[in-house]
Amino acid sequence: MKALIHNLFLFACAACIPAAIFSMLGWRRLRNVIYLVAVSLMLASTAVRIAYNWPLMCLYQEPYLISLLLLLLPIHLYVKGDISSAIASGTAAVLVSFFSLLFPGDIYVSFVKTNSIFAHLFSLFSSFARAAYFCSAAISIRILLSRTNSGAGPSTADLGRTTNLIIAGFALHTLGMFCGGIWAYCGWGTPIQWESHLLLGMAGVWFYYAWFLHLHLAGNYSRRTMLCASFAGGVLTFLFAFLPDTGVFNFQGIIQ
Amino acid sequence: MSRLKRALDALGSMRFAVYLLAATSILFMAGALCYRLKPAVFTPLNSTMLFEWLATYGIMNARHTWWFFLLIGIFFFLGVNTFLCTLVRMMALIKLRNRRSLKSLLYLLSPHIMHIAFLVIILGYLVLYTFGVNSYNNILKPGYRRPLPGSEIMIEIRNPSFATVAHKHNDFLNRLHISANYELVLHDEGKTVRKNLGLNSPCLYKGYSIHVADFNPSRVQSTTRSIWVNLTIRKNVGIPIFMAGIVLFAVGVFLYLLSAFTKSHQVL
Repeated sequence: MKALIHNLFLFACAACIPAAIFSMLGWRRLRNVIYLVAVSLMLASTAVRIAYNWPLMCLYQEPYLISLLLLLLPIHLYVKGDISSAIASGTAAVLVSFFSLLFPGDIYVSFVKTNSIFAHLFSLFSSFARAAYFCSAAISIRILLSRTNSGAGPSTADLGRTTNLIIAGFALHTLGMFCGGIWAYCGWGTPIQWESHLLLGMAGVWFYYAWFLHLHLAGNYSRRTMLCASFAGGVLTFLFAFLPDTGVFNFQGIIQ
Repeated sequence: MSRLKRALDALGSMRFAVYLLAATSILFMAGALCYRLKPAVFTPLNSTMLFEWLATYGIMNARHTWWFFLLIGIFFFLGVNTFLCTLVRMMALIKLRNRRSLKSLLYLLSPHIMHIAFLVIILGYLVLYTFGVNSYNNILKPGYRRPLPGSEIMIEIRNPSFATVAHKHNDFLNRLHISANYELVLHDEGKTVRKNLGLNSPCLYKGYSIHVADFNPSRVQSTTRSIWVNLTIRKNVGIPIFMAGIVLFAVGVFLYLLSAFTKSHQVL
């Protein structure tokens, strides 16, 4: 079963490579079909991973959940007609998926206190938030690069795209932290468990985006500065709220 | 008077909030790095009070805990800034109440509800880590009694029941007790009160909260057959304050998103 979970994820990552090639060649229909295959495989891997430990929560499952949610976000953007943002976030999804594959943190063994709905909601909401932050960073860098090449500055709509994603991510991040707090209270009697540096990293990222939203509301800064801040947020999310959930480089473990 | 007003304006300004939030974020990230370097300094925070920890582990490991001291100072100013900013904006909103629709008023009010909730949560954390009773490793076996810390109330456990899950593919889960439930009997001044207690399901009584930290048997065929439960007992008013803050914040987020998305798809 562990091999099935891993191999489904591996095949999903592998399917992203032809999807990227077809995208560069401009073969849109083939790209879309292969991309949907990759999404389906990753969905299956996540479903089997969750079922494997249910009703307990799989530890270190967040990188895989984030990869799945990041792969789903471009579909939403594509349906809305925002193709360039969909490609940018799709690229981020592929990079995050490969990183999760090469640096696995999963140990497949859980503990009984994860048998709580709040534990599962904490994992889901915080993964969704991190996926939204990564997606906003990818869109920001795409806009910054394309506007630098064309010479025109970013538009209000450009900033709106990333800000809306950050607001959604921030709301889910907050709900995730509250679910985590309730879970910790029910299980240990205190809303904070000092068990991992991820706790502090997640809090740092939350305050970073609180800073970003206040900066946005103040309205004193250029759109370019805000997009740079959005991209920097993605980098900080990766360093402080994603890396702690991953493991050491394991190339030999790719084939199982 | 004008100097005081200028000082209050500066303390409650958006610009000051932006600086404070940036500083808080940087300190938390520095804290994450320090934690990674020396986690043993921070894990005692799970069982000791804040000022006790600061006076011992905090002072003795200043190379890894400096950010925590700064964070407390920043949080103080963030609290003052949030309070003043919210107060000024709420007063302005109250003056506008007859000229705005309810929906528009709720939209404008929602960030302030979140700000008030933020203050309540910070207060909850401060009370949680400053006052109260925290008692660990209270081992109980069926038929034995022990007092609740700081009171004459006696507690005992009866009727332990355990749930298992049948898993075809995960051997680790097979025969594992995934939940444990007990009848907690409290003997309080001649009265006998019966409550339910379980894993992730604490029992609340007269300000006390009783949590299952660990239990035995952990499996159906455990090597040791004795039944015991390890309880964490707390009495802390910080918890209800923290929970009230969570609910209030969630209400603020809900009102903001509801008003924003029904108004238009452009949130800001």
